[in-house]
Amino acid sequence: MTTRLRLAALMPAAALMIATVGVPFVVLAAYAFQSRGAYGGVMPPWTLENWQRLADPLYLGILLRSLLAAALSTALCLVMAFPLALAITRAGRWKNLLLALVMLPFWTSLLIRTYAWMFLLRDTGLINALLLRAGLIREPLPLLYNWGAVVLGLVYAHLPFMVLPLYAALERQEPHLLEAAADLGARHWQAFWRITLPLAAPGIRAGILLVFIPCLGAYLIPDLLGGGKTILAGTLIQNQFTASRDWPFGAAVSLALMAAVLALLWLETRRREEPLL
Amino acid sequence: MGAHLELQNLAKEYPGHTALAGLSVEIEQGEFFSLLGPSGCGKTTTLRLIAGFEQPTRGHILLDGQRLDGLPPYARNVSTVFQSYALFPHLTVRGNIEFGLRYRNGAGRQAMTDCVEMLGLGGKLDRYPRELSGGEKQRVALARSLVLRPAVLLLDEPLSALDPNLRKQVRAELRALQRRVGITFVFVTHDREEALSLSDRILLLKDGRCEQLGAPQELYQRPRTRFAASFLGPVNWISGFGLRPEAARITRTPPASGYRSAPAAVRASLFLGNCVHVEAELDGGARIVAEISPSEGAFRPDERVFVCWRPEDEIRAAEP
Repeated sequence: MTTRLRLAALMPAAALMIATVGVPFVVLAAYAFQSRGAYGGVMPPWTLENWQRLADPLYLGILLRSLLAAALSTALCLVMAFPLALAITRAGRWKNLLLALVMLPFWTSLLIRTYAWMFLLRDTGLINALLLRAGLIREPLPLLYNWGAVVLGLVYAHLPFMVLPLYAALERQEPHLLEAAADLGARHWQAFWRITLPLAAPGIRAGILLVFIPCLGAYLIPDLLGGGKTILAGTLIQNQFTASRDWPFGAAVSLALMAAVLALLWLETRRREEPLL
Repeated sequence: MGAHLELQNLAKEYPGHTALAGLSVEIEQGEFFSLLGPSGCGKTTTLRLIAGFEQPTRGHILLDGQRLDGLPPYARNVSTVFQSYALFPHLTVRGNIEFGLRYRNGAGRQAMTDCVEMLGLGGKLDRYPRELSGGEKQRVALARSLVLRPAVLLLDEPLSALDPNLRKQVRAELRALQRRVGITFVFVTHDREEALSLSDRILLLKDGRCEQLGAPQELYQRPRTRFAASFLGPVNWISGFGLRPEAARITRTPPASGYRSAPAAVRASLFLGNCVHVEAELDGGARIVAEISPSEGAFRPDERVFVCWRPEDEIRAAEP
């Protein structure tokens, strides 16, 4: 391909990115430094007030809680996905079927799946109904609208994004490496620790980013399963643009979240020279 | 160093397929022992059974009288050099060689230094496997195993991944190395030249069974079956016996006493530099190739000649 043809082929994607990422980013950046309008929107004068409000313990707490929820969900995803990915690489002819099952949830909208969790977890939901009927509990357990439900929802929704990069990294490993490790005297867990795990590192890092970033900005799951009680960053931003009609502050929170993610990515790429994915 | 390795009626069966059908052999201490055969003959299976990567369906493996079968690979005092080398890509040469040192007692820093020096890896210790040439990778794989001073070293076609020019050189180095360390080598190959040039003894395998066991010369000169004769080198089949091309002479006059001969017509003559391949058709109809020295003269197509050989060079092999 000539250079010109190559550039032409890149144009549609570039145009789409500029229109849907670049332009809104500039608008957001402009909003974040102005004052709120009475009925939404923004008005002069230019100000740093929105950024000062971020330092308020209330909002700092929300950001911190979001980071914590995202970190906890990512850790749980990793712990659950690793054995699963490892099992799939060793599943022989069942491999493709198992991979298809991992991706099966994507066939249904996240909204519907989250509502399904609500039906399972609520006081009159399936789980409580069964436990009540079995006589194991007298009162319904408070399964929904709390921190635990939010993390459960985040882990559930993002597990495939951890499984797939881990699977890709593990699948690439030469099977003889583990035999060589055993041959040189390493027991199973020693071989896992010194061979399997370090070689899966690129997949682990990719999985962490793929899960942590969307978890940090998640809105739908914390809002539905947290019931508004557990306010995370996504819900906070949504509130500013709707109920609170404080667009400039909403823009500032959005940019702060984006900055946190970029800082993470920067640290990650600086540590390793090889590409992430 | 070195050990006496004994396979007793060793068998490995998979559903619908027998990889190894009862193999019994004793391998001497310090011997360079080759398992030779075509792909699927069971030679790699035998090696994997000795290493412990697979368990036999029947039979036993004894090392100095101690049973190995049933033990996991990490508990066996044997070590494998893999065909692909299976070097750990995330570890340096040093990391690869040191890998087993923490699990196996006896060896240590001194063994490490000796091994690195012996295999000429001194300047490469901080390289990663992807930065090494094929020959260097192979030496690292050897060092990684030898540093543990195993009783038996198992080598699974270790030369096949090298380019042909390097292969002959490494072949010589491997034999010298084995002499030097005195460890019993069990060497798997499908290359008859490798087996013939390296081994003290060769076990020729076919369909999971021992076809013939013996010293290289014995297998080459006195193969017991047609398969063994053909697998160990080119052979002409003349009614009832075989004749290696280099054992056949071509003369214009009937040969001296002590030779047998058959009248023939030259069909083609191929000059190969160090030798000449003369293709001749015996009057009985059989076509043979004789490998003669260029000094024995040139032969033209359709020239009437005698194909001669010494009776002791006749290969009396059973069918098939």
